[in-house]
Amino acid sequence: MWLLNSLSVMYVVQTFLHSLVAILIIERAIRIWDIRNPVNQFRYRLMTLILPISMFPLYNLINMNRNSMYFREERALFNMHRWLTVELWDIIPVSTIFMLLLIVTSGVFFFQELIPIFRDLSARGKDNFSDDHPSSADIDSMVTELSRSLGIEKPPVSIIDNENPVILTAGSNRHSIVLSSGLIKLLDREQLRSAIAHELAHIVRMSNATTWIIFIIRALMFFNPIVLIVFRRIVQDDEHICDDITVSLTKKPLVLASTLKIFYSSLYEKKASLMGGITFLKDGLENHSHDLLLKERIARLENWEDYQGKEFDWGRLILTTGVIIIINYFVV
Amino acid sequence: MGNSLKTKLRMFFTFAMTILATVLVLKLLNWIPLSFQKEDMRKYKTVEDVKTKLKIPKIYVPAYFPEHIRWPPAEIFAQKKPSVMIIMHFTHTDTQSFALSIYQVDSKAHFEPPFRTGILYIKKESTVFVNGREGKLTLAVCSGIERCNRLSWNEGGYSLTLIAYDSPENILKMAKSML
Repeated sequence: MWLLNSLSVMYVVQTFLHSLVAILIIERAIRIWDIRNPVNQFRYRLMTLILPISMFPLYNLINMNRNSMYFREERALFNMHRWLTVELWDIIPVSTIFMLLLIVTSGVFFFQELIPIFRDLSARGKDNFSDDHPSSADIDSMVTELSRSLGIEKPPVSIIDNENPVILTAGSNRHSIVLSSGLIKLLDREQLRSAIAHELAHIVRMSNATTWIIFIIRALMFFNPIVLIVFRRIVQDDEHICDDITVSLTKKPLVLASTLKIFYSSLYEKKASLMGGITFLKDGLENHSHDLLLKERIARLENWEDYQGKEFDWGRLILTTGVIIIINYFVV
Repeated sequence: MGNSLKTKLRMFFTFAMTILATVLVLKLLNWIPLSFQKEDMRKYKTVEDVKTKLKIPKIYVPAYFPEHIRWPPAEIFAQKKPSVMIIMHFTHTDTQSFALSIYQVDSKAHFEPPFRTGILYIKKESTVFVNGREGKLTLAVCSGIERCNRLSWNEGGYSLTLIAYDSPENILKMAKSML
């Protein structure tokens, strides 16, 4: 009981509840306001991350008695203490189930997100993406032309010796594009142009830097299962946004879809070659979620809709955010 | 133009309904644990109600009240699980504003009753005796209120606390009359 009254436990519990209320309202609002543009969806979903982290201290500043028993019993719409003191069949405390949920989410964060990031960073430290091949004149002119269209400085391009189709943007401040020799072999000229345009779109959006900032917010709420879901959805939105920028440049959504299909089938080949055991399970799960994202992106590009020029209604976002802030004030 | 306005109105109506549904679901979820946890914290109408429904044989109530405090309590909250806790709030006879809180909490529960309004600073803490038992008297200043004093001591396996916007003498007199 005394533990439930400690500020840190209240913060954890309320942050979870506030995220839950926020995600429910925001996902519903996206449908109600008919928001199909991924840039706008991104803005709405960002609220699910930003609001819960700051709400608890903000509410406590507004009303110091918000965590008191009077408020919880008399004014709150929902009081989690009531549930946390329940024992199912007089044996299993709901608080234990809730704790387990938080522990599993923290485990997912550490093993599926934090450790791979550190592993990736240390690997990048060793590998400075040196030019195994000089970039061909054709790729170079393609990058120059696309960079000019996007109004950015042409980033350096490196080609690495790797049979797998790999393309990525390195760096969060000084960007460079890394391509694998396998990718150049697999893609035709139009597909390669789409793939490069997509990476340039990430540079335009400063995706790496933005993702890092969002990741820090996510890391601060590592225990929160809702934030885990939202973070992945936001990363997905970012991919959709870059797909749209790509299509606005190439005017060929089907070409980008066919490019993604190559990555999709390459993942299948990789899966088939995996051995059994835990590695198979872990990689299988990661590949499966990656597959789903690729599949969704392909389907979206095959039924492509032009969102350009559709104005964003800030009033509706403010209204939605305001409602969430008010409701969550009464959720303790 | 007419269609667009209709669409907008429909959107706002659906949004309002969603918010209403969210509020109702939250209220329902808030009520569910109370429906099967009969001994959890809830509001009661009278002291007798608490005694009979929660089967708590001894509830400490002062026999002495200053004239400006109104009997019966304006609010009573009580629970038996996870530990016994009874909270009574009293109001002023004339203004109906908060005057006194009495907490009766299982002494093993490690619960420190909070001041009703945010405490600004503690002026003085001293040891007093309530019917031979050692107690702690805290003289504090709370936001908006000059005197929000607290007296705590242990009696019969419970930790008893009085928080009142009143003089220390009156608080001690009430405490001594609680048998």
